[in-house]
Amino acid sequence: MDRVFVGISRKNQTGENERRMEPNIFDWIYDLPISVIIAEGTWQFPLLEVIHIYSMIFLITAVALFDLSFMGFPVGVETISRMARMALRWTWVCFGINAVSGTLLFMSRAPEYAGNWAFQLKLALVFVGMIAHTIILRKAARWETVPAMASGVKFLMAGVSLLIWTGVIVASRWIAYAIPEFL
Amino acid sequence: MNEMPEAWFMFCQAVETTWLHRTMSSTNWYFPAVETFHHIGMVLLVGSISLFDLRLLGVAMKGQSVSRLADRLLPTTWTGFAVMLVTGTLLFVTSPLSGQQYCPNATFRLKLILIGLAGLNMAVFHFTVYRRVGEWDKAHSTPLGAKLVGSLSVILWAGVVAAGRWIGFS
Repeated sequence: MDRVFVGISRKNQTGENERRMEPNIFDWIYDLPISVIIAEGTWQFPLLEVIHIYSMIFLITAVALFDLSFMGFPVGVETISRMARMALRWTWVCFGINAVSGTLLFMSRAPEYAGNWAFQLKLALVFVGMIAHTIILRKAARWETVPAMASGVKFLMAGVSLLIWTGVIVASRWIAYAIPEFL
Repeated sequence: MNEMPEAWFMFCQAVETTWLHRTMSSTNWYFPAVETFHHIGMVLLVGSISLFDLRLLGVAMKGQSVSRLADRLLPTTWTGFAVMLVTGTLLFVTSPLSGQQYCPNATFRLKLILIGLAGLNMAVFHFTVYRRVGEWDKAHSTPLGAKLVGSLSVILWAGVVAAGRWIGFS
């Protein structure tokens, strides 16, 4: 049972010749100076991961807070349009931080992550999740008051959004395990 | 491993002999499955606490009554905490000395201390500043004590998240 999370060292990367014969964009990213610094440093990767996770907590909290209000379970007395403005601010700031830290993390292990099914699933879920969030925000911005209880369709939309973001957390955790050595 | 206090080492050894340890380590995927729930619990716990902290600091939810926000968030906070406690215990039981080796891990102990301090901070808040919440319940600007508790809480929980992630690297 191997549960080592520390980055695969460059020296252990197999197929050096193979990679040179068939170079792709991910190998090129992996060899960039900034990728090398993150991959070979001791604290750079974990620090970026902490920033990524901490920011993710705020991103998902803002989205969930808004989805729950939309479903008719408001956390406070805020009107839905005020909630929409607040959620918009927080989600995009956090999304920006996550995009930058996530890109840097990806660069340091590009070939490995590119072929990782959990990583691919996570990217897809984040993409769908952000689109769903934007659609729901647009609908909500028109309302001034919190509805007593959302209709079936609205309830379903926000519910799906919550499920997508739960899926993002699940897929994130499985990136470390979606490797042939583990399963 | 020599740095470990004798009693702690004995406790960890005893954990390795339990039925729960054997069951948890019988397959490869129990650990990541439980870890996944640990992460979902983390978002519930740290997310709801941070939201309340931001209200105390006057950053977000300024229009909200503090006591009402607390009532609304507490079920989520406690649910998150229960999930964290159960899944965290299972993760620890799986690999105290083997696998992840939580027992000799200094970052793991730091995380436990930070959680303890965060809990203490909450208790202090509950029995001091929050007692007179009626006086500032709807005020946009909260008293200094509330701001202090809010700042400490943000720092301590950020520390818990950071330490949690660092366990796997140390």
